[in-house]
Amino acid sequence: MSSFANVRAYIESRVAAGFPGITVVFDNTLETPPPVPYVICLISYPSTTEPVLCPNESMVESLRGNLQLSCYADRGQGMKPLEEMGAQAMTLMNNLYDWTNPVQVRCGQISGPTPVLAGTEPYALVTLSCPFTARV
Amino acid sequence: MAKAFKFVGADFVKQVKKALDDGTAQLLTNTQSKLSASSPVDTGRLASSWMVGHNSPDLSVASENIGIPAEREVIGGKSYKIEGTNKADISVKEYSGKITFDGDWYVSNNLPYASRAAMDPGYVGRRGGGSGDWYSQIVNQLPNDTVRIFAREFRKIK
Repeated sequence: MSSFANVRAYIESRVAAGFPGITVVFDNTLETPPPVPYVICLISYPSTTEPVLCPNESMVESLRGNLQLSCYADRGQGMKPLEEMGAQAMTLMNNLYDWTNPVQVRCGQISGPTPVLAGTEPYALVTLSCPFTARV
Repeated sequence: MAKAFKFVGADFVKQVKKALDDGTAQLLTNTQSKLSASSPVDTGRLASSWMVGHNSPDLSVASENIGIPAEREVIGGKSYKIEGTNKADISVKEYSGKITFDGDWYVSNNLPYASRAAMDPGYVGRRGGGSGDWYSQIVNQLPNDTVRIFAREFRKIK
């Protein structure tokens, strides 16, 4: 039996390992962001259950969630660090499925990397996100 | 004993067209409402500027003079709003015409800071400012919303 904690532990450990040498900030951890470069990993469950048999009941078969990775780097230093982190994030999302792991996290279509370069903030970022399913 | 079934093609096509029109209207209204309800709020201008457009995005935005912005404090060089000192005024502008299945539909926000508010979790703030992935949650949920809404409408066809 899987749980939210198992799913989160699996995804967060894979994300932390996917960005060697870069600080990864997870949900409900640091309030003040670390120095750039860093990655913010957000996991949420906007529509948790999937009705598989009866349209009026929550026949729970798999969890549905949302994974967002936002990669931050210095502003005005070119796109190289942002695009490198974006590519790492995309590879990580693509390879998240592991059939030997009981949580069986599978990512759907990836949105991004979307760059955010406007504004007055001293940093620039790219954001990627995808829906995922996990086994209950 | 089998029940007699009379198929009337014209009536069936009419019902399918109604299901498509109603489904499109629900999907657009639902998405606009969710985006407005989830937007980070200070004065409410961002939340009020999600517009529905037909065949091209509606580039209008809510007035600059709505609501009262929050007082802010600076901690560690970063500015945080003091909760409760703002007054938000949010109103969602409904699409004025009839929404049908025909053509391309857009739900857009033309404020200059809309893309940062949508894509930057740091913009929302990590001190009780709400969910940093509010936008991607809604966008990535759209295929499921579409299936759910249109399936419900098509089940009404007799």
